[in-house]
Amino acid sequence: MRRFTFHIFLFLLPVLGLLMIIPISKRQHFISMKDDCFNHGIWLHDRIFENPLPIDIAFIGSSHTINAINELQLDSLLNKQQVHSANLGYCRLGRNMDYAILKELLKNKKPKVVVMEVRETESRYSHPAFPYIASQKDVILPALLFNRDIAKDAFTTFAYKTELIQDHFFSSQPAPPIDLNPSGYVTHLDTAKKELLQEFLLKRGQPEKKASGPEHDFYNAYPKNYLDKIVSVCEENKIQLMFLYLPGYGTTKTYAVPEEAVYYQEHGKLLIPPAAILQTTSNWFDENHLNKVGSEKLCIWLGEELKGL
Amino acid sequence: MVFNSITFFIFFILFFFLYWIISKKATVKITNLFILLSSYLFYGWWDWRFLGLLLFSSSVDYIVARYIEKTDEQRKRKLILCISIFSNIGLLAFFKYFNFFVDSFVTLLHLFSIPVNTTTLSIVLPVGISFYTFQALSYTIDVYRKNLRASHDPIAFLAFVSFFPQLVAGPIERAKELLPQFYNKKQFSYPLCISGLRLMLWGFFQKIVIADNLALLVEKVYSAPQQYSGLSVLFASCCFAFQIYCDFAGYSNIAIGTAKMLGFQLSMNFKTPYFSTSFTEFWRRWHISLSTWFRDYVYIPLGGNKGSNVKTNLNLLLTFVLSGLWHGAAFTFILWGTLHGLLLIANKKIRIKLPSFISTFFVFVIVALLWIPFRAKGMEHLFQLSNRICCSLNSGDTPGMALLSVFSMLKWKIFLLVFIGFILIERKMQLIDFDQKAQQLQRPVRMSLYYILLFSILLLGNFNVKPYFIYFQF
Repeated sequence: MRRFTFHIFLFLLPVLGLLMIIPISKRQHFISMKDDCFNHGIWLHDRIFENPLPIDIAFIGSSHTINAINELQLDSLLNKQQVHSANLGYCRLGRNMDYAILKELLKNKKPKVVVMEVRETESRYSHPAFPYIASQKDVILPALLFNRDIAKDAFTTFAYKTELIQDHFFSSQPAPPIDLNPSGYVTHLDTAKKELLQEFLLKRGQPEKKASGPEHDFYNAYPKNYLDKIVSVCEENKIQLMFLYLPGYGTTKTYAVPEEAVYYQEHGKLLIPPAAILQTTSNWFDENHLNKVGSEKLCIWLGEELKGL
Repeated sequence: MVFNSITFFIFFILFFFLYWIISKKATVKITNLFILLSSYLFYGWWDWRFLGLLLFSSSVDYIVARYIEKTDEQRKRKLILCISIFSNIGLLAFFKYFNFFVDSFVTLLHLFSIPVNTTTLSIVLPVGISFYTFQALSYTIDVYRKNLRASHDPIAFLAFVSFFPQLVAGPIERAKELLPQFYNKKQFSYPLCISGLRLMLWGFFQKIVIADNLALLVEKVYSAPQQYSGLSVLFASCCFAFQIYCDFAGYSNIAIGTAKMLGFQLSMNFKTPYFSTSFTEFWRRWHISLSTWFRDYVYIPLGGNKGSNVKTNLNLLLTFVLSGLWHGAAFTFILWGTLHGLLLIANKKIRIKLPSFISTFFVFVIVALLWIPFRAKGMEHLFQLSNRICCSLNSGDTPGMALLSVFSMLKWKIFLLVFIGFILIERKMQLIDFDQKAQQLQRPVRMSLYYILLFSILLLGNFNVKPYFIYFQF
């Protein structure tokens, strides 16, 4: 049995080795994610690597961040400080994705402040897009075993790499032009129906059975590990870390502050938007995302919070 | 769980190592129990609610066979056998054919202007039901015929019916061949595991490289035939002939290879059928486990070729109609089966000596044409396709345009090279499998071939599709 395993490993070694070393440009990784998150990946890449505009304040998070942070508005509010902010949000949750984006960011930019989106609770799962952009090392050798998606992530990385290699050899499509749009903010003008928000207010206002003690620690071991990594990367690079609470509509009754508020406060400043913004129905596009009015109000408040940095 | 999915990959690695550890340290019973539980996990991964069905079907057959064996009285034996036949065919009829028969009946009444209001149930077809019911049924019939002794080991029997490598799409194994293998203690064998891996590699190559790539073209043309010329539809049908072969033979090879790695020998399901020189030969080389099942349990009991010519032909036709119906509850499948039956009858009557490459080509073309009703989504779709072929052979997009709409020119050129290589290997294999053929090659050639297959999978494989095998729907 040992001989068999060893021989199979030897047989596969050159193939795996080749797969690892065939160079694929980082941009290609983001280009091929075109069907995901409204093709936001390529903008994210170009803002970090192609756009010469510096990034002083980076906002990292999910679609909540994409719809909430208008960099242009914020920059004009902070114009005395001559800062450039960037909304580097990417749809869906997964702390490992935040870590991967932060690492990419630091390869080409020197932010002074990183604002991490936080939700009511930490998501304990891997971000679905993480294996597409993270380095092979980060995917294959995650620090903890509490990631139930580890095998899926490793396979996706492998499959995606082969797909990229196939594209590299066979695709005749030219690469899209460099996107120099300074803003990653996506806005919605519509307002959510009151009845819908009311429904969510009732649903989300119900007391939840929360995990506690060892069960809670077990659930959070995976995201906490990535949060620890984010904290240490920020410390190493002398970046001020902040946490911005962006919950869904109607959850502030149950979670006035995020569940992990103590942890966030230990490692940075926790920014909690005023209830007037989060609880006003006309500020929401749907039950999860702020609309243009909501994001304007949020940015005004945020501008005040970030003044004097 | 599907063979070409990450879930199966993880499942099998874990299962493989645990299986050999258990097999070494524990008794056969415990090993079989492990196989049984793992197979149920494999099946339940798709939909756990249908595990009850699998357990019910196997339990009925186990009990029925025991009773048949205990009884000497012929009438009683027949009666008990009927329980097994009714329960298996009943399950199949309900899950697979209920809606079809109700719909057809209503349509018939409508033809005679008899209005009927009916609602058909939304019945989900349990994966593999056609395969495991047939496998279990053959066991009770064999016990009834006294060709086989009834199993006295329920765990071994349940493991035999639910054995995961061949549970959902065959090969449909005979109890006489497979069941005794569950009674013996298995020893890990390096050559057998390598043989298994060889077959799996070939199977994955057939599925991922050939079938999945051809599927893109076939789907494109078949989903909008009105946009393509009749020539493109014909070309897509030829591609479908290879797609379905590589999809199903690929599955069978992976299944046989997987079983081999666990020390089990499954029967060969395909013997390069497209190199057949007659339709009779084609059916001896295509989906062998099903063809022999129908021969032994339908055609021969109907009288086989013992009666008059007319009777023999009728038996043959009925067997093929049923075989068509086995594939799916639709008139297109019945038509496909009927046409094959008629071809076999004609094949017996007309015997013209032709050079083998001409007869091979002729058989392939006809078989490929007959795949059109098989692939069509219904009679209306079939008429659409036939209409393109008959009336618009040259109008619409050409096959070349259809090809280039799914892949770049360079990819098609490389694919074509690989495809020619695949045909040459198949030509060399003829009646033996890839494993046996590879063993005949010298080590450097063999190793190069493995790497070519592996790199073809990596470079040409279509990983962006949902893991799926055509025969899962049957």
